[in-house]
Amino acid sequence: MFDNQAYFPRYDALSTRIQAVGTETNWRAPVINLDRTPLLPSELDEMAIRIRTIHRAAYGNSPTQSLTDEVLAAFVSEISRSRFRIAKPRLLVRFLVDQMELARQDQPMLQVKDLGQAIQTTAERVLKEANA
Amino acid sequence: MPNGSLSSTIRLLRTGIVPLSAIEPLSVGYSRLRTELTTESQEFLSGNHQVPLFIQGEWGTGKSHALGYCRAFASKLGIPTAFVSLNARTVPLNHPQRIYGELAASLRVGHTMGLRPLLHSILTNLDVRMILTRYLSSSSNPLSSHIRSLCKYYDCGEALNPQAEASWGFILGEDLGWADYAYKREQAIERIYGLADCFRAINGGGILMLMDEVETIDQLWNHRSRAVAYSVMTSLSTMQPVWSIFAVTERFRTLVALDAARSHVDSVSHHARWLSNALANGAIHTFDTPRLDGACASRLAAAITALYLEAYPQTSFSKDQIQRCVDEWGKNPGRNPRKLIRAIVNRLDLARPLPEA
Repeated sequence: MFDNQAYFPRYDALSTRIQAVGTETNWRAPVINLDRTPLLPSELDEMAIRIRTIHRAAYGNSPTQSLTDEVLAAFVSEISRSRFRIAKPRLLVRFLVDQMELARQDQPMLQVKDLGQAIQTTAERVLKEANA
Repeated sequence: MPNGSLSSTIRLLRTGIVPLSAIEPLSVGYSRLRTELTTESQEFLSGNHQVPLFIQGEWGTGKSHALGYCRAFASKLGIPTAFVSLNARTVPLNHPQRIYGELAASLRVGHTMGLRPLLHSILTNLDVRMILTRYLSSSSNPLSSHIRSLCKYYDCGEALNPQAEASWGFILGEDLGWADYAYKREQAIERIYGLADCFRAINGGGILMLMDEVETIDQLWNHRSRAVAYSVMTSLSTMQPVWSIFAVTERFRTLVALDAARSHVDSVSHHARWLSNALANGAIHTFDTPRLDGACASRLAAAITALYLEAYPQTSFSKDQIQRCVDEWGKNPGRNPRKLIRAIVNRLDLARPLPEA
């Protein structure tokens, strides 16, 4: 938005008020560039656990019993390594919710060797929806 | 300044906007403007018409700040000031009926803001009410019958009588804003004059009208819209009880020059030539936003730092960090004050510890 001349730079009065000052991340600035402030792997782990907690509050513990902290960590690790044009937190949320919903419908548990393929399928679906 | 307003001041400074509450300490290089305003405001309050002032500068050089400075200055002297930020969509210069609404909303003296609260405070004062009634009884002011009607309600101690609402509605211009007709435009101009003349009867001068973003005139529909916009500017500039101050960029001057040079004589070229000549022969005063040198920039940086520390005393920084910001800013030939303000606040933001998650 700030690099392409067709967006903010076209409106000098606005861009000079909100564009980043300097290279350091100022969390109090009018605009925070999320690409430059990615979540740490530990924060993604924490996010996954919290989503599971919400799911358990809604549907009980049994559907997601197989989704242990270790399994969630494997999801996060695979997603962190992936290369898709989707923000990683979005991909993680989408993938995790899909897996939990499948577990709730008694679908077979995803094997670790299929993880990469399953994440790719989710990513393609998210991208397709975004471009629709 | 209370802490809540201090933090909101810093929030605005973060985007390079200087709020009215911080105008005084953050005005650097304004001695020439202060001198001019002192002389001109005295003349204005003695009943002399003041030629309009054009505040010139590009984006971020401090035009809005200069308007704020004028507003704070006039407000201290008890001159009602109205601030109108023009734009081509909702408040275009060729629709004075919209400008009237903005004027009514922003008219301010001291801490009293808005035409209704202001007029209410005037009408509750018996002496001022009598001055106003005396003036209105002998003038053909378009607001005359409505303000006199209000005076009668206040005389009887019935300021809150619901029947007074019709008069309030007219005075506040509720019948104007919705319409685009040419006759409403004329009514709006007459009403601005009428309102300013009422204040002239009270303070001897009238009102100060500050108009920002005047260059948005180039976004109007076509040359006819511009012709009307120029004529509105001309009307406001020549009204005895209105002291107009416009903030313009070079784009505005270029447009006026182009319109004035049109080969055939029409209303656009006529009004553009008037403006162009007035600018050339001094019938319109101009003020270029001050260009900050190193010393001024350091003074401004120190003033921002002091405000920031008042708002957030836990900020720990070294003076060298601030001076480095000033030095870095000074390397840019543009020397844009907005960039300096933002750079200083950014540096102080980074120096202030983040709260625990």
